[in-house]
Amino acid sequence: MVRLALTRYRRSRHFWTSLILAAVPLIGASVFSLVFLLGSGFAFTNPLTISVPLLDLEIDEARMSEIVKSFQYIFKGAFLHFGVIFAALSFANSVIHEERAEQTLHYLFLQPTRRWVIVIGKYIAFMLMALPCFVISLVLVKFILLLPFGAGGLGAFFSAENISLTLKEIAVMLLAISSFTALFLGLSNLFRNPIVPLMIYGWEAAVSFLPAVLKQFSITYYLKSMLPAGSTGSGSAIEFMAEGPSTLQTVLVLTLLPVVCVGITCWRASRQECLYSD
Amino acid sequence: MSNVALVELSNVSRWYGEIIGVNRISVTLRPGITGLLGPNGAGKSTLMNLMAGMLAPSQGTVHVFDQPVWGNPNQMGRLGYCAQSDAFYEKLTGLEFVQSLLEVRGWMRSRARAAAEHAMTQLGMAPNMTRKIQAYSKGMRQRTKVALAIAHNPDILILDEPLNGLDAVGRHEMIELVRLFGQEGRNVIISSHVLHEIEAMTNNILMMSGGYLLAEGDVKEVRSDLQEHPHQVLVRCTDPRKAAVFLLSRSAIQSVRLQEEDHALVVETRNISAFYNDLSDLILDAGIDVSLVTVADENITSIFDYLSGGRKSDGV
Repeated sequence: MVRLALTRYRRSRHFWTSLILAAVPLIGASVFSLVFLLGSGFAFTNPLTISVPLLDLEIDEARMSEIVKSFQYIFKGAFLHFGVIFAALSFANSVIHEERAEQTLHYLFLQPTRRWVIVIGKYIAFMLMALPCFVISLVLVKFILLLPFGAGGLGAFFSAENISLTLKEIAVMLLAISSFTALFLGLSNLFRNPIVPLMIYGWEAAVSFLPAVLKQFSITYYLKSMLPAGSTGSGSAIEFMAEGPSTLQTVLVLTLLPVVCVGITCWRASRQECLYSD
Repeated sequence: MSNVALVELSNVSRWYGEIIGVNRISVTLRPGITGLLGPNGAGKSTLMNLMAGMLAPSQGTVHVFDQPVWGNPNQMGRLGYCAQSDAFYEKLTGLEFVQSLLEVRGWMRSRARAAAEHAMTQLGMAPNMTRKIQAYSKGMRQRTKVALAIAHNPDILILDEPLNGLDAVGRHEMIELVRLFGQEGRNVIISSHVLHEIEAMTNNILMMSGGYLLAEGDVKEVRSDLQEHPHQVLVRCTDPRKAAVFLLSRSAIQSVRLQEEDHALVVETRNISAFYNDLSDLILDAGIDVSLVTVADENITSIFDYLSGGRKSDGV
């Protein structure tokens, strides 16, 4: 089931949606790098070339802090609050509703296979397709941000510290994709109205402004608590408040949420008829 | 023929809101080829979907090999289903399509590929099975659906209007294929709204209309019932009144109804052959010019109206 779903996703709009959404942060990173270069006294010697010595800017503590803040801004804004959520949204409908709309549902429902196998197979297939797109984008974002610093930047990119941080951020990305995908999958089975996912998106986007008790009903709240140190910032609207959930609470929520949502979807799928008219 | 019950429907009804799909159908299907005949909207697809376990009956039970089929994936494994809809995973090749769905059953890749190749070859799709389905003609798509249905060697094949959309050659090939399945000992349930096509494949038919089972049994018996069905023929001529008087004097004519605004008359007769002789006499002896002769009830609808005796209007 995973292989079939992966083959179909790779040749469908879901792949291109994930790719485009994963590419958006790269644009952001490029803009940041350009702005940074301009702010550092960079100037074109002529309209067609870039002055090469400016790619050897020295990395000091202040500049590194700027880079970290830029990355965190992109990670939270472009990845967590945008790319992952919309990629998950585009997938959620494809499990059952899209098959029903395309009248291909019977091909799956007629198999001597439990319905939960179909649901979970598609879920895993989407993760296998989307995660590499976002991971590669995440790594490239860091690379682009460090590029203006030439050899020093490359050194920082390949440093053990950066690699360790990147692996943690990839883990957060994985949890984000799995959680949001599962959430929208569950919601798409309970609600047909497309306004519901949009409300969820709005809720997640506004998490920084919510009181502490309501924050606990946000996936982003738990994801941000797992970000590596240095995520607190200087007054940006998306910065995370100092106090957060415990690690145990975070792991429990981000593990149980996909289990519950996917479980609901599996249960509903087991009772669904293969009916193509409303 | 074996007396094993393949599919058993006991007082099965299925409704969609207030619309009745099938109504109180009780029938047992035996091994061999069974034709399911009925006009559009008769309930054929609903009945087949119930047999395949895709729908739950609103009332009654559906058993396949003595086991309930709804919510029973193991029973679904014994069925091969060719749906009426023309939907596919368009971006896959025909071979990939069949192979991947066999793999979903839990088959190993090599076994699935071999079975898919064999099925596609059997359906004459060997030269095209590595092309994407979106490039297939209607006939190729139908054959791919049937290939998927037979690939896992099911105990029962359910084919929902597999002749739809095919040209004359395609229809003939599909009919021959179903006959071959029967000769191979496969159990097939096939639906159509064309009597002579069903007749070409099997002697055993079920006739449906309006969600009801109207007749079942040997097609010859059903045909002889139809022989007594009065045919209606529309005749357009220069002088309908004179033609009506002439024809009413003939023994083969039961009744005549004038449609003067169309310069036509509708003739009812139980002996169509004798009527055509009378028509020749009308032209030659009565000197009436005839511009159009058409049988008004060639389609199956009027036949079902006859058999149902207007039951459809009785309501539930």
